[in-house]
Amino acid sequence: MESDDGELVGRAKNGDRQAMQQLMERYQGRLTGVAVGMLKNPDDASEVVQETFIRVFRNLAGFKGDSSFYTWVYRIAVNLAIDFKRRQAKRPLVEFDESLPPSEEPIGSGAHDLGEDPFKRVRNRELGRKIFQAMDDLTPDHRAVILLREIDGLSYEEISKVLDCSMGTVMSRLHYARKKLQTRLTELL
Amino acid sequence: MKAVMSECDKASANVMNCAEFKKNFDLYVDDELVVTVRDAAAMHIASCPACEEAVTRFQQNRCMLTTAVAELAAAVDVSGMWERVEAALGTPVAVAVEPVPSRPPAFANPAAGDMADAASSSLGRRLAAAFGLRPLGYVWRLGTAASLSAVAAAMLFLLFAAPGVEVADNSASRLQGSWGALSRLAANSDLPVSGSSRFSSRFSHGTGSHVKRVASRRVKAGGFSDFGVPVSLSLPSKFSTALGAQAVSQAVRVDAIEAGPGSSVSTWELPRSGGRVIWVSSTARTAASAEAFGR
Repeated sequence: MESDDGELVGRAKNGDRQAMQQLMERYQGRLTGVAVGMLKNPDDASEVVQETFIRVFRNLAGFKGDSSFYTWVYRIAVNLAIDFKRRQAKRPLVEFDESLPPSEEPIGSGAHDLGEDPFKRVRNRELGRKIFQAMDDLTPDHRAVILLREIDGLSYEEISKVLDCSMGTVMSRLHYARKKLQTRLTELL
Repeated sequence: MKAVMSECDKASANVMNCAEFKKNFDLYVDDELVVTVRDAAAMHIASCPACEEAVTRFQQNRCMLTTAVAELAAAVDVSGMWERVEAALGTPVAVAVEPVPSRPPAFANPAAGDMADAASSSLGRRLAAAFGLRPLGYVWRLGTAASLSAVAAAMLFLLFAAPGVEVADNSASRLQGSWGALSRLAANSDLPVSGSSRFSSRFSHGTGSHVKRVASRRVKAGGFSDFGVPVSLSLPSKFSTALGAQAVSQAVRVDAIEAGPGSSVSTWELPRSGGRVIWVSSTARTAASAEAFGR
């Protein structure tokens, strides 16, 4: 039977590495989605997810359980991703569009198995590029709120806990982000 | 709280116009409306092509976004992440140095030397930073020689000038004793020369008659000292016991050092003393250190 978060967290607090590993495996995939959506770069996303778990386990003793474990983990991940994004913005490098390179497939993508319609693949890739192009116009805060909602399906209340803001702010940011995304996609598509 | 009561109160829930639907649009598509209002919204879009079109367009965009993110997420390499996280959780690195008059031992480590530049540079920076010296990027890019000099300089500084460094009560040699003190000092200042790192090692006595392999054993502030042949091994007593009743600083020969998952081993020589440093580190920590200094 799968252990619940509380039990695993309790064991992890006592230094149980197996429990830590289980917690990491449980949330690794979900955090990866948010991180890659925030950063647009698989390597950066991997780095942020890894750093998230390092911080989580190092600070586990300070986790009082006032919020749920996954909310706490998400908060750390989103803050790290936002910081990462802001640092990137401060030192703009010659950036190539690394999100979906035109001549390369994302490694390990199950959607790119042999046999898939190549035209559909090209179209999806092009759509993906435009989606991320549109997302680029959003601030990290707006991007975070839309990813937590659309990718992870968190409720407004959960998002407000992750981002440490009111539900009104969540709704306002979500509305603004969607409107801007819609406008941008209309221009791009 | 699952649902949000919107501006449409229950009285008006049964009748909704386009303006009211627009106000409730986000709540509707996020399924955050109370049931009565949600039903009223659903009834409205069923009879309003414009609002239905808006919902359909939104769902298409949502679908494109999730597909794009999922495709990119599939390209994220998470293999070995747990090993790196676990390695970072324990303080990595065991370092030691000893003046050596003769040849270095035959370390059967394929990665030996590969990380020497990065590791020595990183160590020099950390040592310098620990004592308030600013890590100047251009200084550290001068290459291996400069990096090794920095390590040697930092060591001399620690040995003779740093306040609070006590010479350990170790009769093997003054330098070795000082490194013991440095290890204790480092344990309190988050230097990479202290703490623990998971790695597997194989040691044998000088004659090679006894070989004991210790796999994935946690080593605390281990120190390896090279006297040529045999090699002096300085380890905490509990680890020495695990090796097979080896006393601290008893001469043994190090035949091979291997890095376990998430860790790596490299060695390099100190040009002045001829000492040899063995560096055990987690790749994650080393990478983080390198980035922190803008390599």
